Amino acid sequence: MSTSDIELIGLSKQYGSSQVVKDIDLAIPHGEFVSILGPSGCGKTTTLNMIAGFIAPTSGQIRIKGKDQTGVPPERRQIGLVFQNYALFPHMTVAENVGFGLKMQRKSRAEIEVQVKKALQSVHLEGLQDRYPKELSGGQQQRTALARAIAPRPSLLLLDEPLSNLDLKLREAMRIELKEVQQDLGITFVYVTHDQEEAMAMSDRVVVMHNGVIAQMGSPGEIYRSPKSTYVADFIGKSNIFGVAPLSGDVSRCRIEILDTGLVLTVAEPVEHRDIAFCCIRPEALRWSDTNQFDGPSTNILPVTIAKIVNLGAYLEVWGRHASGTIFKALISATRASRLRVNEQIELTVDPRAIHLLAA
Amino acid sequence: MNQIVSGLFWVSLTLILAFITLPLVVVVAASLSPTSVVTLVPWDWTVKWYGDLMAQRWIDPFMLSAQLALIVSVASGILGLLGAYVVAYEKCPGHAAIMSFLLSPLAVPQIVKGVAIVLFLSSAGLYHWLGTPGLIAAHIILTLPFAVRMIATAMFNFDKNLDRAGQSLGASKVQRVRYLLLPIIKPGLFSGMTFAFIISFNNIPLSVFLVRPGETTLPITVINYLEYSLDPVLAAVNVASLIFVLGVIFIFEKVGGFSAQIHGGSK
Repeated sequence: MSTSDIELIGLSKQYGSSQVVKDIDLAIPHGEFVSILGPSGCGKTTTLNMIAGFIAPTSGQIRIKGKDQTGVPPERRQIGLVFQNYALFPHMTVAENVGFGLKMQRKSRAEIEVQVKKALQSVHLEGLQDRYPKELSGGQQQRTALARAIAPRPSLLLLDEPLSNLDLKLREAMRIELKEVQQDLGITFVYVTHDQEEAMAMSDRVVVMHNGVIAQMGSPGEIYRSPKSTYVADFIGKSNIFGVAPLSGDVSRCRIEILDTGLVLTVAEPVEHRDIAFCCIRPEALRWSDTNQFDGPSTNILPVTIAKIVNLGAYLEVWGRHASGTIFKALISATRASRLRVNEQIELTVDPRAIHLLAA
Repeated sequence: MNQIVSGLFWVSLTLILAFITLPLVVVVAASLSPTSVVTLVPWDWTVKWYGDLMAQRWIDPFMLSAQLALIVSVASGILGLLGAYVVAYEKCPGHAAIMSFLLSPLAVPQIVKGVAIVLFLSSAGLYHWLGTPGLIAAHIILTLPFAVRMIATAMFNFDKNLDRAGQSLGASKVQRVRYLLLPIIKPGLFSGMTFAFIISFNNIPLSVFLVRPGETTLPITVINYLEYSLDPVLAAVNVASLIFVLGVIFIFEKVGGFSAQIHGGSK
């Protein structure tokens, strides 16, 4: 018997000839915070709607606590749902909104009151219970929606881009709060988003979706450090991605050539007889080796001319153009790089272990 | 330039408001004038015509019209609610066609409708329907499109995500209709019912075919009276029914809270 809260088994959804979700397998253990991450149209919202029960899968199965949910209507799945536009009931006060699920469960008035109070406390909304949704700020509406979803104590909470209507500061604060609420309550969260930062910041596990299939899943660190495809490497964080080929007849067996540049890089693992077509280097892995600060012989040196400097506040994104025309984007701390100027010639270095190799 | 435009705006607004209200002012003055010559001098005014309204000849038609309007308004509200539910909320197959059909009585002139109903009732042998039952049926046909339109608009505007939210919180279909849909579309329902009430209460073209002697509505009684005399009691009748209708609108608004719906809502 599995201990998963929710299992998707060969889940597919087809509309006419277009297959929106293709044969997804996913098991989520109890208490995990899972993000389904992908651009719009990748099938993530359809997957969420199938779990919630609003859309029937074309094939495959959804199990919640081991029970097949085929044919079970949404109102009997006991899944909490938080919507992007909050979907608060405009004619009810905050307390009535939050108590709605309990009322539907025919709980006593006294118990509803206690549970509503608890739910409002856990999202820091005490004292606003008599307001109507239109009298609340965006963040307060968001918290009300969250409180409403958790008040009936669902075993699973689905969140559909719940933060995307908030401004940046609030969004960042809510990320931390959401995670705290999730840990306090020990509820399984399935969080759908197109915002990779959000997914990275909160999740125990990230499921990257692309064209209806799971491109990769793993912990945020794993996905960031070792993306399995150029798609994931490109979608998660920033990347320098180049077409490469193993250097033939090389004695060290650990060298690759960046195509069309003549640049040869040493990597940390043997590359002979392997299917390697791309390499991915994170911008922060490209170091600027200040000639005044000699820090040991570097294996991989990239001589470049600065083509552009993008100021990101604490960091500068330095675009270095190699003689072949290829651009290397490096992230350098602003304090160190303040004296860099466009058209200046510099050398970038990269640790062999920071070069991530990808198959075609 | 801006000042000229806003000046023109205020002038035209004033003219429009005057155009709407001045005839009413004249009627009110007429109802207070001692003779059929309208006087605008307040110290000549009298309320004796209003005393005449207490006569049977006015009370009976008023009671009939008021009851008729109330029945028609409630019936249109219920039927309109059911129709709009299927068409606008459930979006049954062919809902657009059904909606057009429900609204189609609007396109038929009332005189034509009146003749059609009388001919239908007599050719079907339903003579006993002529009179009040026929009036009720005919007025419902007349007012239903307004009610359906109002309620359907409210239902079209109902955010389906609220329904999904309710569903995820364990609410069954019946519970969702009761706790979410109905309270949210209530203003639409009540504005539809108000329209039905006013249309029925004021109606002449349909009623004229269906009233029977001794069982006439207030507007028909006014028209009949007008054929013989033009004394200020008619103005008094009109002012009294105006006040009555305003009172009804006020009550419906208190119960249904639809002013936001009708005025576009600045709240």
